[in-house]
Amino acid sequence: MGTAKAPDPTDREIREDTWEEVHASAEFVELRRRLRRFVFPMTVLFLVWYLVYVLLADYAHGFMATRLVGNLNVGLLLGLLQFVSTFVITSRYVRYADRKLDPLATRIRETVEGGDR
Amino acid sequence: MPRSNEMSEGDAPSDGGARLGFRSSKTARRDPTAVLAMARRIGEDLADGLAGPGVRAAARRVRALLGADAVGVVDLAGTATWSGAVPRGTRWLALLDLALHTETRAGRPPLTAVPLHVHDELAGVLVVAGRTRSGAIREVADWMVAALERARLEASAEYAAQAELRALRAEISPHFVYNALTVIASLVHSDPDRSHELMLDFADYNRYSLASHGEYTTVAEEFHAIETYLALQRAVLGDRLRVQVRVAPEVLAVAIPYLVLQPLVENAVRHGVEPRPGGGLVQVSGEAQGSDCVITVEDDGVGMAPARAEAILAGKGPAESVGLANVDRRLRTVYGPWYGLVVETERDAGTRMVVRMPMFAPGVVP
Amino acid sequence: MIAFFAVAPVVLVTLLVGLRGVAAMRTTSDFLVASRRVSPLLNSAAVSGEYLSAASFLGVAGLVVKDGVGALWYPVGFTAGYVAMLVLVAAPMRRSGAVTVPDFAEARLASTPLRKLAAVTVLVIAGLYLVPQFRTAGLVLSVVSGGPYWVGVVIAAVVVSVTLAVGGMRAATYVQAFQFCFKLVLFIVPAIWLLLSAGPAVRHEAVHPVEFTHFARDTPVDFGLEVTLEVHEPTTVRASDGRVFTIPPGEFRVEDGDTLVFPAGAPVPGVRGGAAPGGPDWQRPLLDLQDAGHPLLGTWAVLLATMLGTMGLPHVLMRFHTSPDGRAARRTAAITVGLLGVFYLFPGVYGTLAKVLVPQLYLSGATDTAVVALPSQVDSGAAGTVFTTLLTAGAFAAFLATSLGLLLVVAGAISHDLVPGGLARLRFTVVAAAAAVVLLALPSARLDAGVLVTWGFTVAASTFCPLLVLGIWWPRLTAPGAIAGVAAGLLGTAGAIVATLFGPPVSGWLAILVAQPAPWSVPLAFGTMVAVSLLGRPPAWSSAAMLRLHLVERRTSVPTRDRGRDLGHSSWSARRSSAVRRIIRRLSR
Repeated sequence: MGTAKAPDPTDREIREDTWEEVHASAEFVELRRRLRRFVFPMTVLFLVWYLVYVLLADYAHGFMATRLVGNLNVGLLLGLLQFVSTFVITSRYVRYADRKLDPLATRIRETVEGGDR
Repeated sequence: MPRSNEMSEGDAPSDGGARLGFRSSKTARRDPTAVLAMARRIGEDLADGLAGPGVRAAARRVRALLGADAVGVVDLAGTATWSGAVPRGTRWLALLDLALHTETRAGRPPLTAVPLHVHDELAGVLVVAGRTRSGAIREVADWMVAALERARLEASAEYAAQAELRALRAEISPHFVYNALTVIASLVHSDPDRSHELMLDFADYNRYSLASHGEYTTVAEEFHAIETYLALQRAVLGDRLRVQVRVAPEVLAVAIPYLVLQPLVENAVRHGVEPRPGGGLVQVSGEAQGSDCVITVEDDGVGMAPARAEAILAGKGPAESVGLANVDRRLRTVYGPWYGLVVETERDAGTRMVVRMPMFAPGVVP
Repeated sequence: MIAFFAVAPVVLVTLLVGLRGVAAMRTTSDFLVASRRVSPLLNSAAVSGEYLSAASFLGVAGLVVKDGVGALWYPVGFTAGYVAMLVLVAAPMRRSGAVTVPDFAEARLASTPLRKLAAVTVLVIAGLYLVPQFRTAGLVLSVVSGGPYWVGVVIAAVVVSVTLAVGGMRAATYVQAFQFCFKLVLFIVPAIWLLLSAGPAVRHEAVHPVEFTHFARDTPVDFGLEVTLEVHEPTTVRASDGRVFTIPPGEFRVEDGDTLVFPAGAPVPGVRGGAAPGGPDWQRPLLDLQDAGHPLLGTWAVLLATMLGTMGLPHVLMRFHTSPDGRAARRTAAITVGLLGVFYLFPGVYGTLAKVLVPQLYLSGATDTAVVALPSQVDSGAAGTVFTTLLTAGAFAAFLATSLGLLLVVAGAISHDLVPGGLARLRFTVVAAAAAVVLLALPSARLDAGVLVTWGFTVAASTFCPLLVLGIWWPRLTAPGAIAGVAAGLLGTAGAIVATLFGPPVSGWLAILVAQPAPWSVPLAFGTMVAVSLLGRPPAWSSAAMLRLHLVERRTSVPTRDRGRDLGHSSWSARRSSAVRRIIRRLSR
């Protein structure tokens, strides 16, 4: 790594004030809230969804084998749903991030940048 | 009356020594290794100056080193950082005032105020309460001054580097500017579209070179700048300059220091191809090799004697060739001694310059 | 001959794309002045290409033949892992500027011991992933060319090393993207042909699987490895030298290299540790690992390992660095999910067809070659040969793409992080690494490719997944905590792997937990990381470092000529460097 860079003397004040401001700013709190509200529940949900299917396949064997239409049984239908839901989760997350997370994050960064004028 | 903004620690006096691994100061024989380690840490704590975040830790360590009851470090703004119980009464304030005004030591143990002169300039005051030898206080004060001076030198070195970068930016050759504008002017009537494009290129080029921004940019941006420059030079030189630019997708997003490739390309055109009567070819290519990004600027122009190239890289070349030395130095500063600029050249055999940069280096972000 | 015609074109085309790929962006008299960004589609094709290894191409289908429909959980896990990566890791990792996980460890926590530990983990994961690649390539080449296994492995290693040395990865993004398209075509086209040419009886049986109890016709079985058969009834077989003899009930050992011909109607012997394909267990969509009788736990263990381990695979993560910013990285992950989904529709097809046509492969333990063995079963003429060649080429392409990426990662980790000082001697390190992998692959013919790869995922899930998730989302993570967590995960999984390979046989759910330690090693790693971090205090700049990972980067788009130029708001105009960036730079000394 390169040699140590001595800090800009004005850096410190900017850093501490800016970070405190940013940390407490409504926008950052909102960003964190949105992230927490979406990202973690989504992850847990989709993990659980797969595991539940496996659970059903093991214990609810009869239920899964119930024929619906022709060769299609419940198990197969749920499997297809799993397949489709993967894509649905993916596209929903991307849309959410584009529409809700990115603009907020951009605003915060611009505030940080603007604050050091 | 200086503002006294006390941030004392409230721990029992003379306890800090034991806590930090020293025996009682009065009679103990210090382990030299421990002393040196303590002194080194004090130096690190003071790297940000007397108003930096390490001052409190420094005060604590100085107190342990001296075995004093309390140690206060005061900067020029009057902010005092104490370790240990702040002495009662206002006598220490009076001593502080005295030290600040006379710029000499005020008081005597058990209460002393010693001014700290950094580069012959008053920077703050060290106040020591407790039974310590004044010789020890003096040594510690000198040590703190040395640490502060070193910190300031490092800051100066950083400023110097930035100033040099600014100088490099402003080093657009007036000759080039004149030629570019002339060519643009000549095309205004005969080929207005091309002239329009070239004007935009020129504006881009100037903006990239002169605008003030951070230290790092991406390979994609730097390549774009090279291309605008080469477009302009091709308009000026016509068929004498042939150009080939290739870049692999993996390195486009890599963060590199700003203005690392442009001086190389300018060098290739101005000193390689331009002097040659038949013109020449300039090839710029960027690719990933393992986890390094390797960029090559090659020309088949006049080249130069290897000894001269060495001299230029060492900084001993003529004034207008300072670009290459600067690039080399900055690469080494950012990435380490193994990542300097490599120049292969020989008279009439062209020149090839290779820049190798790790794709990731801590702290390098655009 | 097939082998040569399959392998040579793949290598040649890879080299060509690698060398020309850079030239493809060559401009001579006219510049490509438009903004140079790697489109997310191209990058996700590259990710998919590098990711779809021989294990995906052949291994999953083979596992379907052997273990049943439940083997399809593997591709589900693989694909779901990318969703996990998309949501938790892709964009922040890109914003950190890190190329590999050791880089990320350094950027986030600035700890050299952690970096070295991460580099060692990279070697472990890459090794567990590389050995099955070489093994499968060796098996396929030996089956197709008729030579011994070790020759196949050595040829594979030589091909990879030569490709790397000559410069086959010079434009890795293009190379891998091309490889993906190549593999996709080579996988889909034969599948369609097989479905069409197999005949309605075969198709019907594929959908309604029947237990494989008796040989339908005279079937030669090539035992490439030594196998112990469990014979239930006296079975008459003909040996390769023409002798006809009867195997009495009990255990019967077949030497490697032997070929036994089972006459039509002969009962199928059992294989120790396996169940006949087509039975009721085979049809259940559950993975009964080790036949321990706990399919639920087994399936969950595999799912956990694959879903959480994908984000830690070193060669995949590197590709995301090519994206210009966090948003593009996110898109790349999303499109990859789609591309992989399309690809993974097909192993099931191959698997069920193979169960019908070549179920005897499960006897010889060579189920990985099921895909390649299929065309000649359906059509013994020219068409079969052509498609066998195509599939071999596809398998080899899969092997080549992944091995190239992984070997580069290994060489990078060794020369950058583990061997101190000096310039990286990349080529030498690559060849040395390939040689080491060959040495490991030679005795590994008996191991299942799927098992080895899943172990690679398990290690990644127990080491890098906690590091990345906590590093990106938890500000209180400290360097000692990270080191403790990664070490715990690494030691736990390593211990489990060693115990499975060399330890005493266990049964029941304990067997599953030892063979697939993900259910306990992942929580162990997370827990250790959290507990040790809480004991200490994170450095003052860690909050700022984390902040950086979630904020959108400074817009540095290169202006294009096609769009109208807006000179007032061009990208480079006077943007001040942000305080956050300066903090990080200053604090990372």
